[in-house]
Amino acid sequence: MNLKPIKYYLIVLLALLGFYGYSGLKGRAYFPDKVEKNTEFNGNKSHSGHVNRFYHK
Amino acid sequence: MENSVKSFFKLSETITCSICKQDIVLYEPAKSEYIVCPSCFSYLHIFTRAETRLNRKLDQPDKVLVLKLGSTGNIHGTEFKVIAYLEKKEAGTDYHWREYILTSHDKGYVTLSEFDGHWNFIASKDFLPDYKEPISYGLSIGYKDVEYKLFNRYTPVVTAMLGEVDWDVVNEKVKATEYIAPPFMVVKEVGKTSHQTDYYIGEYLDAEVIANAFNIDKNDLPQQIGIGANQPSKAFDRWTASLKITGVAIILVLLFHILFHTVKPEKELINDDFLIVYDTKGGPDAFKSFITPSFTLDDESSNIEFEIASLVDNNWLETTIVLVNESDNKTWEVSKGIEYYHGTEDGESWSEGSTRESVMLSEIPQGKYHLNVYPSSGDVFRNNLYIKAVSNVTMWGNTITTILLLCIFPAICWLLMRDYEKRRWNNSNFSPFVNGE
Repeated sequence: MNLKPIKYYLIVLLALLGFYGYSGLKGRAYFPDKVEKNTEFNGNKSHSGHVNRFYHK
Repeated sequence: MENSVKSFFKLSETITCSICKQDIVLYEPAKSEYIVCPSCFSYLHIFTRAETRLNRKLDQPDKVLVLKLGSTGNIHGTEFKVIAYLEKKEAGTDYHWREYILTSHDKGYVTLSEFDGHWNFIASKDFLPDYKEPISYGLSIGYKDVEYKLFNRYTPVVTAMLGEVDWDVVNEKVKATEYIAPPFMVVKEVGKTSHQTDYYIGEYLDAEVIANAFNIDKNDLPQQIGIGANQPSKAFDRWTASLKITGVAIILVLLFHILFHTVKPEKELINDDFLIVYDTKGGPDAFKSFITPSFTLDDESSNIEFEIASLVDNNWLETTIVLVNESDNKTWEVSKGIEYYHGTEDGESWSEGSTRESVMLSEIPQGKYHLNVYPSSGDVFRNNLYIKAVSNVTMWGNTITTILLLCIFPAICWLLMRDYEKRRWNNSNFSPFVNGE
């Protein structure tokens, strides 16, 4: 198999495989839900519970 | 042997044109039977070494020869001498091309054809030690287990010639059919009867190969126009190589996927139905917050998927979940709503939403954690919230996204390859691309 015509794709392919492997080992999701970090103990956060409210009709 | 080869290439004789009485150089005097006088362009039949007789009068060649008669060159390790130049056309059309007849010391004639700057090295079975008789399938031909597709059918006519050959090339009547499998081509020539069928194998040669073989400047060769019938396609090479390597990569991704599942198995952290109570002192819709029991993440880094559910009916429930690391108080906060509505309208029932949702946190470090849960709901009588938390969940999103990303390049290569092939087959009456599609 002649890989010369796709040498740049091979680099991208290896990078993709590497990133996939790293993500799998680290438990990193490509599309995680929106997360706010360290909000609980910074003193200016309240939990009102009004997010993305949807009412029908 | 070497000496005989050298003497063969130096060998030449001079004869006199019977029409204009000018000298004609013979480069292969022992073999040649037909020659064209370079002064008066008479096509002559040599009947003794000294005399010739007129066979036909030809036109002066349109083009200047880029490979001079008598010049030598090495192609595929064989030394050749140029002994004839032919200008041909397809009967009934304006297509013209040029052919150089080359002879070697011990392997006979081969042809170098040139059309729109595209060169083909065409040899008969005498020249090919591993030749096998092609098998005809009508619109294709099989040669050495490779399918060659029908590209062109024509009747060649010689319009001009210089040099010499050992057969009556100008007056021969053949019907030629070309089959291609780039970079190779099979040319089938049928004489007056179908029994007189000969096959020739052509190979596309880059202009640089011709220039190097005959030690001439590449810029002196005709400029390339369009795509040659059997010109190798870099797009095809890229497509086949990328297809194979992407196939291997996809298998690797799937193996990784199974490996991760084995090395880092899923672990259930919480699976409980929690009692929730409306907070009369809180804001509208607010329920009392609560804390879950602690749990431990053993792996250095993991993902956690939360599944929340409550049997809301034409109502909603929303909760903010705060993951708290008990050793350093670092937190990860996510909010998710559940809403489920249903009813009947114009005699048809409908429903929207779901009583179950999930949320994913990624790259959570090792440690002991608990959840702070802040529910709220439009149903003040709602009294339960089911929470399930699992670490190391299978990330199908990662796997499918990686596979899709890997497929982009081969898909682009396929489109480019297809475009190249469409342009190649534009020159054929037998294009497999119907209406250019």
